[in-house]
Amino acid sequence: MSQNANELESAATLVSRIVSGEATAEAELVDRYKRGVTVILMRAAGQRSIAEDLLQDTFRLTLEKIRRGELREPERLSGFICNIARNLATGHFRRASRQEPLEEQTRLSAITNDDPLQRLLAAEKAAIVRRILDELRSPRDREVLYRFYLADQDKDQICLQLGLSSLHFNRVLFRARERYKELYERFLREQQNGLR
Amino acid sequence: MDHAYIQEHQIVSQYAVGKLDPADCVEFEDHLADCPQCLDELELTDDFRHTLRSLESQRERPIDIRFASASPAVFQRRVVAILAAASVIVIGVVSFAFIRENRGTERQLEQARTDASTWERRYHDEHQARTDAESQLRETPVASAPLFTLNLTRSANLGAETPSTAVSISRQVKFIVLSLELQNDPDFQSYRATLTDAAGTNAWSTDDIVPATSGGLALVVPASVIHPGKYVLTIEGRHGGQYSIAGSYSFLATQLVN
Repeated sequence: MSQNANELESAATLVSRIVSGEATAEAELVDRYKRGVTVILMRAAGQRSIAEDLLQDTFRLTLEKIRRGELREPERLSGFICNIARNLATGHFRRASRQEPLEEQTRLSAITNDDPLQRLLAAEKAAIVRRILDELRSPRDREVLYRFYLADQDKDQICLQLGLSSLHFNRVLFRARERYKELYERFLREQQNGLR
Repeated sequence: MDHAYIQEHQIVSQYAVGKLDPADCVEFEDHLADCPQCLDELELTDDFRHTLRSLESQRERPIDIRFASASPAVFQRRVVAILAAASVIVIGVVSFAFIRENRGTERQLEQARTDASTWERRYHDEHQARTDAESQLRETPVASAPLFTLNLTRSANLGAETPSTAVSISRQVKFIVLSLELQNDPDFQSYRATLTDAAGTNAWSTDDIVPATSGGLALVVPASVIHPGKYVLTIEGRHGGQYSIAGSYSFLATQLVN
């Protein structure tokens, strides 16, 4: 993936600051990549506690390697960190598969949240999604969302079976997501205004 | 692969549902780790997907057979659901035939009212025949009615193109079951099905159909109305007295030699 020139420079600068022993640069690196690496590890691990452990190890290893000068292309810092994270996740599950089935770990992680605020948010999100589905004029567009997000069907397969162009498919997904964002952000604003 | 590419190709959504190939996945993750905008989009997409999923599980949306890529176990469950729906329709069709027959019998009974012994015997015979037939039907709901799954087609115009779905009907078969993928639109109160041959002649139709599942429809069609050739089955939804097309399904009918 290509990034813009400023981002490349920024990553390279950050690396050089770490190499020169600047402690705040290390904190900046963790702060900057923490969210993204967490997402990647959560997808790989499927369980927050494991992802958090792996996250700690990822940054520990990343910083050690950078300090030792093992990152030869500082502008590829993001890929470097992600590789470490993925390798750690793979290693973890290779060990875990000898001890406990992954399915069991995932099942245990799927404990529902009883927080009233979370329940309120979930109810509101459900209302928003229902509204989006109702707003879709074409049953076929609704079918696209069901097939893609719930039925695990490929884009090509959906387009072929429903007689859709790739552009139309992309548009349905894009509009649904944008509408969801718009309605959800409006709800949050209204909640904040109500609390003031 | 930059933002424009990612947005144009719905890379975030594809990643969210695990549909990116491993190479693209690695490339996207390398970008994602340092891109708050893509992270926001991914969070939003996950949120939308999970909410959609929980909505569906609350509705207990029946599983249907329209998803061809499903696992064999899931597919089997869907087929069972459709067969169950089809059996209900078969029972309905046969019950209707019995009701009609009963009406004729009632007229005969009216004429024979003076003869109590005849009435009783006829009633007993009729009742027994009906019970036997219904029992037989329950035991073999669709065994004699082969099931064909039809795919949605882009156009109702048959033209010179050969339909991709073939329906091969044995001469011994009295009914066939056509299983269709159909997204049940809540705006439609009921559906109407019309079967048209290549010449545009109406071969069969039925209305007031209420789907047994939200994603599929099973129709029992008399095999006698279908002859070798191309057909289009058009499904129209009724909303406030008006019909509008909900889907078209073309198929090529052939006759088995046996």
